[in-house]
Amino acid sequence: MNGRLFWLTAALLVGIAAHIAYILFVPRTQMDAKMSDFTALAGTNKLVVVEPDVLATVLPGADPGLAHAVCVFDLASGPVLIKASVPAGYWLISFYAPNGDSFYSLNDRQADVRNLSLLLTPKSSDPGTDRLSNPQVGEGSEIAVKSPSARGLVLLRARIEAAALRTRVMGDLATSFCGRAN
Amino acid sequence: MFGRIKLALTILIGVALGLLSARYVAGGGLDLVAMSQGPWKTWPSAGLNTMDPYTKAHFLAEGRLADNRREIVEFETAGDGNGSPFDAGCTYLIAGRFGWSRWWSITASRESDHASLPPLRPSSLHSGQVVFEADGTAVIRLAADPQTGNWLAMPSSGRINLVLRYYDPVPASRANPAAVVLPQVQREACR
Repeated sequence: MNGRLFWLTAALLVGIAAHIAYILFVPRTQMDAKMSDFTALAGTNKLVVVEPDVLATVLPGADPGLAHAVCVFDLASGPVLIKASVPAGYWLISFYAPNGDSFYSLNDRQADVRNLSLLLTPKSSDPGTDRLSNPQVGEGSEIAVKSPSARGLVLLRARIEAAALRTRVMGDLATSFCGRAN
Repeated sequence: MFGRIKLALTILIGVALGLLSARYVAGGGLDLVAMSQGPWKTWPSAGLNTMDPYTKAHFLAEGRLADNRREIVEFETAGDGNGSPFDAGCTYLIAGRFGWSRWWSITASRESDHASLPPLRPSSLHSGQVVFEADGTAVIRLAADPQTGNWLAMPSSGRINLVLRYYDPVPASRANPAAVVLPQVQREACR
Protein backbone atom coordinates (compact mmCIF):
# COMPACT_ATOMS: atom_id res chain seq x y z
CA MET A 1 0.00 0.00 0.00
CA ASN A 2 2.83 2.36 1.00
CA GLY A 3 4.61 1.45 -2.23
CA ARG A 4 1.58 2.34 -4.33
CA LEU A 5 1.11 5.62 -2.49
CA PHE A 6 4.78 6.43 -3.10
CA TRP A 7 4.54 5.87 -6.87
CA LEU A 8 1.22 7.71 -7.07
CA THR A 9 2.71 10.71 -5.25
CA ALA A 10 5.78 10.56 -7.47
CA ALA A 11 3.61 10.54 -10.63
CA LEU A 12 1.60 13.46 -9.26
CA LEU A 13 4.76 15.48 -8.55
CA VAL A 14 6.17 14.73 -12.00
CA GLY A 15 2.80 15.76 -13.44
CA ILE A 16 2.81 19.07 -11.57
CA ALA A 17 6.36 19.74 -12.77
CA ALA A 18 5.42 18.93 -16.40
CA HIS A 19 2.28 21.07 -16.14
CA ILE A 20 4.24 24.11 -14.86
CA ALA A 21 7.03 23.56 -17.40
CA TYR A 22 4.54 23.50 -20.28
CA ILE A 23 2.78 26.67 -19.16
CA LEU A 24 6.00 28.58 -18.51
CA PHE A 25 8.30 27.39 -21.28
CA VAL A 26 6.12 26.54 -24.28
CA PRO A 27 4.93 30.14 -24.88
CA ARG A 28 8.51 31.41 -24.63
CA THR A 29 9.96 28.82 -27.01
CA GLN A 30 7.08 29.29 -29.45
CA MET A 31 7.57 33.06 -29.43
CA ASP A 32 11.32 32.58 -29.96
CA ALA A 33 10.50 30.34 -32.94
CA LYS A 34 8.08 32.94 -34.27
CA MET A 35 10.71 35.70 -33.96
CA SER A 36 13.16 33.45 -35.86
CA ASP A 37 10.56 32.77 -38.56
CA PHE A 38 9.88 36.47 -38.99
CA THR A 39 13.59 37.29 -38.98
CA ALA A 40 14.08 34.70 -41.75
CA LEU A 41 11.16 36.21 -43.66
CA ALA A 42 11.83 39.90 -43.17
CA GLY A 43 15.29 40.34 -41.63
CA THR A 44 15.71 42.76 -38.73
CA ASN A 45 14.45 46.35 -38.66
CA LYS A 46 12.77 45.86 -42.00
CA LEU A 47 9.05 45.77 -42.70
CA VAL A 48 7.77 43.10 -45.07
CA VAL A 49 4.24 42.46 -46.31
CA VAL A 50 3.19 38.85 -45.69
CA GLU A 51 1.92 37.15 -48.84
CA PRO A 52 -1.47 35.41 -48.42
CA ASP A 53 -0.02 31.97 -49.24
CA VAL A 54 2.46 32.11 -46.34
CA LEU A 55 0.16 33.88 -43.87
CA ALA A 56 -1.12 30.67 -42.25
CA THR A 57 2.45 29.38 -41.90
CA VAL A 58 3.97 32.42 -40.19
CA LEU A 59 0.82 33.69 -38.48
CA PRO A 60 -1.45 30.70 -37.83
CA GLY A 61 -5.03 31.73 -37.23
CA ALA A 62 -4.56 35.20 -38.69
CA ASP A 63 -7.61 36.79 -40.28
CA PRO A 64 -7.23 36.37 -44.06
CA GLY A 65 -9.53 39.38 -44.46
CA LEU A 66 -6.65 41.63 -43.38
CA ALA A 67 -3.39 42.45 -45.11
CA HIS A 68 -0.44 41.87 -42.77
CA ALA A 69 3.03 43.40 -42.60
CA VAL A 70 5.67 42.49 -40.00
CA CYS A 71 8.90 43.96 -38.70
CA VAL A 72 11.27 42.37 -36.19
CA PHE A 73 12.78 45.30 -34.35
CA ASP A 74 16.12 45.43 -32.57
CA LEU A 75 16.91 48.50 -30.50
CA ALA A 76 20.51 47.44 -29.77
CA SER A 77 21.91 49.95 -32.23
CA GLY A 78 19.46 52.75 -31.52
CA PRO A 79 15.82 53.78 -31.84
CA VAL A 80 13.67 52.37 -34.64
CA LEU A 81 11.37 54.48 -36.76
CA ILE A 82 8.15 53.09 -38.24
CA LYS A 83 6.53 55.14 -40.98
CA ALA A 84 3.42 54.01 -42.79
CA SER A 85 1.16 55.52 -45.42
CA VAL A 86 -1.83 53.71 -44.09
CA PRO A 87 -4.81 52.99 -46.35
CA ALA A 88 -8.20 54.59 -45.75
CA GLY A 89 -10.38 52.42 -43.54
CA TYR A 90 -9.50 50.18 -40.65
CA TRP A 91 -5.90 49.46 -39.78
CA LEU A 92 -4.16 48.38 -36.60
CA ILE A 93 -0.54 48.48 -35.56
CA SER A 94 0.51 46.25 -32.63
CA PHE A 95 3.83 45.87 -30.86
CA TYR A 96 4.83 42.59 -29.19
CA ALA A 97 7.60 41.83 -26.69
CA PRO A 98 9.55 38.54 -27.01
CA ASN A 99 7.39 37.04 -24.25
CA GLY A 100 4.24 37.48 -26.37
CA ASP A 101 2.86 40.51 -24.52
CA SER A 102 1.24 43.15 -26.69
CA PHE A 103 2.69 46.33 -25.18
CA TYR A 104 1.26 48.93 -27.53
CA SER A 105 -1.41 49.20 -30.19
CA LEU A 106 -3.05 51.93 -32.21
CA ASN A 107 -5.85 51.85 -34.77
CA ASP A 108 -7.01 54.23 -37.50
CA ARG A 109 -9.63 56.02 -35.37
CA GLN A 110 -7.30 56.54 -32.43
CA ALA A 111 -4.59 57.97 -34.69
CA ASP A 112 -6.81 59.70 -37.29
CA VAL A 113 -3.89 60.18 -39.68
CA ARG A 114 -2.94 58.76 -43.11
CA ASN A 115 0.81 59.18 -42.58
CA LEU A 116 1.75 57.35 -39.43
CA SER A 117 5.11 57.86 -37.76
CA LEU A 118 6.22 56.10 -34.59
CA LEU A 119 9.58 56.24 -32.86
CA LEU A 120 10.38 53.13 -30.87
CA THR A 121 12.88 53.49 -28.01
CA PRO A 122 13.76 51.37 -24.98
CA LYS A 123 11.64 51.90 -21.91
CA SER A 124 13.33 54.27 -19.50
CA SER A 125 13.73 53.60 -15.82
CA ASP A 126 11.32 56.47 -15.14
CA PRO A 127 7.82 55.17 -15.90
CA GLY A 128 6.48 58.72 -15.82
CA THR A 129 8.17 59.48 -19.12
CA ASP A 130 6.72 56.49 -20.92
CA ARG A 131 3.63 56.80 -23.05
CA LEU A 132 1.21 54.09 -22.07
CA SER A 133 -1.36 53.38 -24.75
CA ASN A 134 -3.44 54.82 -27.55
CA PRO A 135 -2.64 58.53 -27.44
CA GLN A 136 -4.57 61.04 -29.51
CA VAL A 137 -2.17 62.14 -32.19
CA GLY A 138 -2.21 64.57 -35.07
CA GLU A 139 -1.11 64.46 -38.71
CA GLY A 140 2.66 64.88 -39.00
CA SER A 141 3.40 64.23 -35.35
CA GLU A 142 5.72 61.44 -34.28
CA ILE A 143 4.43 59.06 -31.66
CA ALA A 144 6.93 57.94 -29.04
CA VAL A 145 6.56 54.27 -28.14
CA LYS A 146 8.57 52.75 -25.32
CA SER A 147 9.52 49.11 -25.62
CA PRO A 148 10.01 46.96 -22.51
CA SER A 149 12.55 44.85 -24.41
CA ALA A 150 15.38 45.41 -26.89
CA ARG A 151 13.78 43.09 -29.44
CA GLY A 152 10.23 42.44 -30.49
CA LEU A 153 7.69 42.42 -33.28
CA VAL A 154 5.63 45.06 -35.02
CA LEU A 155 2.50 43.85 -36.77
CA LEU A 156 0.69 46.24 -39.12
CA ARG A 157 -2.71 45.09 -40.38
CA ALA A 158 -5.22 46.71 -42.71
CA ARG A 159 -8.71 45.60 -43.62
CA ILE A 160 -9.36 44.36 -47.16
CA GLU A 161 -12.88 45.57 -47.96
CA ALA A 162 -13.22 43.32 -51.02
CA ALA A 163 -11.03 40.61 -52.55
CA ALA A 164 -10.36 42.82 -55.59
CA LEU A 165 -8.71 45.40 -53.30
CA ARG A 166 -6.22 42.97 -51.73
CA THR A 167 -3.35 43.94 -54.04
CA ARG A 168 -3.96 47.65 -53.49
CA VAL A 169 -4.05 47.37 -49.69
CA MET A 170 -0.91 45.19 -49.70
CA GLY A 171 0.72 47.77 -51.98
CA ASP A 172 -0.14 50.53 -49.47
CA LEU A 173 1.46 48.53 -46.66
CA ALA A 174 4.51 47.79 -48.83
CA THR A 175 5.36 51.52 -48.91
CA SER A 176 5.76 51.48 -45.12
CA PHE A 177 9.15 51.71 -43.45
CA CYS A 178 10.66 50.11 -40.38
CA GLY A 179 14.33 50.82 -39.71
CA ARG A 180 16.95 52.65 -37.70
CA ALA A 181 16.08 56.25 -36.97
CA ASN A 182 18.92 58.52 -38.09
CA MET B 1 14.79 -4.17 -12.99
CA PHE B 2 11.15 -4.04 -11.84
CA GLY B 3 11.90 -0.82 -9.94
CA ARG B 4 13.29 0.81 -13.11
CA ILE B 5 10.18 -0.09 -15.08
CA LYS B 6 8.05 1.38 -12.31
CA LEU B 7 10.15 4.56 -12.33
CA ALA B 8 9.91 4.93 -16.12
CA LEU B 9 6.15 4.34 -16.04
CA THR B 10 5.71 6.85 -13.22
CA ILE B 11 7.64 9.51 -15.15
CA LEU B 12 5.76 8.73 -18.37
CA ILE B 13 2.33 8.86 -16.73
CA GLY B 14 3.25 11.99 -14.75
CA VAL B 15 4.54 13.86 -17.80
CA ALA B 16 1.51 12.83 -19.89
CA LEU B 17 -0.91 13.93 -17.16
CA GLY B 18 0.96 17.20 -16.65
CA LEU B 19 1.02 18.09 -20.34
CA LEU B 20 -2.58 17.03 -20.99
CA SER B 21 -3.89 18.95 -17.99
CA ALA B 22 -1.91 22.06 -18.99
CA ARG B 23 -3.26 21.92 -22.54
CA TYR B 24 -6.78 21.29 -21.26
CA VAL B 25 -6.82 24.28 -18.89
CA ALA B 26 -5.07 26.56 -21.42
CA GLY B 27 -7.58 25.45 -24.06
CA GLY B 28 -10.44 26.74 -21.93
CA GLY B 29 -11.29 23.55 -20.05
CA LEU B 30 -12.97 24.05 -16.65
CA ASP B 31 -13.44 27.74 -17.61
CA LEU B 32 -10.56 28.66 -15.30
CA VAL B 33 -9.01 31.14 -17.73
CA ALA B 34 -11.64 31.24 -20.49
CA MET B 35 -15.27 32.30 -20.50
CA SER B 36 -17.86 30.16 -22.24
CA GLN B 37 -21.09 31.23 -23.84
CA GLY B 38 -22.86 28.39 -25.61
CA PRO B 39 -20.22 26.81 -27.85
CA TRP B 40 -18.10 29.98 -27.91
CA LYS B 41 -15.07 30.61 -25.70
CA THR B 42 -13.07 33.75 -25.11
CA TRP B 43 -9.88 34.37 -23.14
CA PRO B 44 -10.57 37.68 -21.35
CA SER B 45 -6.98 38.42 -20.33
CA ALA B 46 -5.66 37.96 -23.89
CA GLY B 47 -3.21 40.67 -24.85
CA LEU B 48 -3.56 42.62 -21.59
CA ASN B 49 -0.68 43.42 -19.25
CA THR B 50 -2.36 41.03 -16.86
CA MET B 51 -2.47 38.14 -19.38
CA ASP B 52 -2.24 34.92 -17.38
CA PRO B 53 0.28 32.23 -18.37
CA TYR B 54 -2.44 29.77 -19.43
CA THR B 55 -3.94 32.28 -21.87
CA LYS B 56 -0.45 33.01 -23.18
CA ALA B 57 0.12 29.27 -23.62
CA HIS B 58 -3.24 28.88 -25.39
CA PHE B 59 -2.30 31.38 -28.08
CA LEU B 60 1.43 30.87 -28.40
CA ALA B 61 1.39 27.05 -28.32
CA GLU B 62 -0.59 27.32 -31.56
CA GLY B 63 1.80 29.95 -32.90
CA ARG B 64 -0.79 32.72 -32.57
CA LEU B 65 -0.29 36.22 -31.23
CA ALA B 66 -2.88 37.34 -28.69
CA ASP B 67 -4.55 40.65 -29.45
CA ASN B 68 -5.38 43.22 -26.85
CA ARG B 69 -9.12 43.06 -26.21
CA ARG B 70 -9.30 46.86 -26.35
CA GLU B 71 -8.63 46.35 -30.07
CA ILE B 72 -10.11 42.94 -30.88
CA VAL B 73 -12.47 40.77 -28.84
CA GLU B 74 -12.13 37.22 -30.10
CA PHE B 75 -14.37 34.18 -29.64
CA GLU B 76 -13.65 30.63 -30.76
CA THR B 77 -15.61 27.45 -31.17
CA ALA B 78 -14.75 24.02 -32.49
CA GLY B 79 -18.33 22.78 -32.52
CA ASP B 80 -22.04 23.55 -32.65
CA GLY B 81 -24.47 24.54 -29.92
CA ASN B 82 -25.00 20.88 -28.97
CA GLY B 83 -21.32 20.49 -28.22
CA SER B 84 -20.61 18.27 -31.25
CA PRO B 85 -17.42 19.04 -33.19
CA PHE B 86 -17.88 20.43 -36.69
CA ASP B 87 -18.27 17.75 -39.36
CA ALA B 88 -17.15 18.65 -42.88
CA GLY B 89 -20.07 16.62 -44.26
CA CYS B 90 -22.65 18.87 -42.58
CA THR B 91 -24.07 22.35 -43.05
CA TYR B 92 -24.26 24.67 -40.05
CA LEU B 93 -26.38 27.74 -39.52
CA ILE B 94 -24.71 30.64 -37.71
CA ALA B 95 -27.37 33.20 -36.92
CA GLY B 96 -27.83 36.21 -34.70
CA ARG B 97 -26.85 39.79 -34.09
CA PHE B 98 -23.20 40.65 -34.47
CA GLY B 99 -23.28 44.40 -33.67
CA TRP B 100 -20.81 44.67 -30.79
CA SER B 101 -18.08 46.52 -32.59
CA ARG B 102 -17.27 48.79 -35.50
CA TRP B 103 -16.93 45.71 -37.70
CA TRP B 104 -16.47 41.97 -37.31
CA SER B 105 -15.23 38.94 -39.16
CA ILE B 106 -15.77 35.21 -38.92
CA THR B 107 -13.13 32.74 -40.09
CA ALA B 108 -13.18 28.95 -40.51
CA SER B 109 -9.88 27.13 -40.38
CA ARG B 110 -8.38 23.75 -39.59
CA GLU B 111 -7.55 23.62 -35.90
CA SER B 112 -4.31 21.67 -36.44
CA ASP B 113 -2.55 24.27 -38.56
CA HIS B 114 -5.05 27.16 -38.55
CA ALA B 115 -4.76 27.16 -42.33
CA SER B 116 -7.72 28.79 -44.02
CA LEU B 117 -8.77 28.02 -47.56
CA PRO B 118 -7.41 29.53 -50.79
CA PRO B 119 -8.71 33.08 -51.43
CA LEU B 120 -11.25 31.90 -54.02
CA ARG B 121 -13.20 30.05 -51.32
CA PRO B 122 -14.69 32.35 -48.67
CA SER B 123 -13.12 30.94 -45.50
CA SER B 124 -13.54 34.34 -43.90
CA LEU B 125 -16.41 36.83 -44.07
CA HIS B 126 -16.54 40.31 -42.64
CA SER B 127 -19.51 42.49 -41.78
CA GLY B 128 -19.15 44.49 -45.00
CA GLN B 129 -19.57 41.34 -47.10
CA VAL B 130 -22.57 39.88 -45.32
CA VAL B 131 -26.19 40.40 -46.42
CA PHE B 132 -28.28 41.13 -43.31
CA GLU B 133 -31.92 40.24 -42.64
CA ALA B 134 -34.51 43.01 -42.33
CA ASP B 135 -34.34 42.81 -38.51
CA GLY B 136 -30.58 43.38 -38.49
CA THR B 137 -29.58 39.78 -37.84
CA ALA B 138 -27.22 37.85 -40.07
CA VAL B 139 -27.62 34.24 -41.20
CA ILE B 140 -24.43 32.52 -42.39
CA ARG B 141 -24.14 28.96 -43.67
CA LEU B 142 -20.94 27.12 -42.83
CA ALA B 143 -20.45 24.27 -45.31
CA ALA B 144 -17.79 22.69 -47.48
CA ASP B 145 -19.96 23.13 -50.59
CA PRO B 146 -21.26 26.45 -51.96
CA GLN B 147 -24.50 27.72 -50.40
CA THR B 148 -27.00 30.40 -51.33
CA GLY B 149 -26.87 33.58 -49.24
CA ASN B 150 -23.97 34.16 -46.88
CA TRP B 151 -21.61 31.21 -47.36
CA LEU B 152 -18.61 30.54 -45.14
CA ALA B 153 -16.52 27.78 -46.68
CA MET B 154 -15.52 24.99 -44.31
CA PRO B 155 -12.26 23.03 -44.72
CA SER B 156 -13.10 19.56 -46.04
CA SER B 157 -10.92 17.71 -43.53
CA GLY B 158 -9.47 17.94 -40.05
CA ARG B 159 -10.78 19.44 -36.84
CA ILE B 160 -12.48 22.70 -37.72
CA ASN B 161 -12.31 25.88 -35.71
CA LEU B 162 -14.39 29.05 -36.05
CA VAL B 163 -13.06 32.40 -34.87
CA LEU B 164 -15.35 35.40 -34.50
CA ARG B 165 -13.49 38.69 -34.13
CA TYR B 166 -15.01 42.00 -33.07
CA TYR B 167 -12.73 44.76 -34.27
CA ASP B 168 -12.66 48.07 -32.40
CA PRO B 169 -15.26 46.73 -29.94
CA VAL B 170 -17.83 48.96 -28.27
CA PRO B 171 -16.91 49.84 -24.65
CA ALA B 172 -19.44 47.36 -23.19
CA SER B 173 -17.96 44.39 -25.05
CA ARG B 174 -14.32 45.23 -24.38
CA ALA B 175 -15.05 45.85 -20.70
CA ASN B 176 -16.91 42.59 -20.32
CA PRO B 177 -16.72 40.07 -23.19
CA ALA B 178 -19.16 37.84 -21.30
CA ALA B 179 -21.86 40.45 -21.94
CA VAL B 180 -21.64 39.98 -25.71
CA VAL B 181 -24.63 38.10 -27.09
CA LEU B 182 -23.16 35.67 -29.59
CA PRO B 183 -24.72 34.05 -32.65
CA GLN B 184 -26.23 30.59 -32.38
CA VAL B 185 -24.45 27.74 -34.16
CA GLN B 186 -26.80 24.94 -35.22
CA ARG B 187 -26.29 21.86 -37.37
CA GLU B 188 -28.71 22.05 -40.27
CA ALA B 189 -28.18 18.97 -42.47
CA CYS B 190 -25.60 16.31 -43.22
CA ARG B 191 -24.71 14.46 -46.40
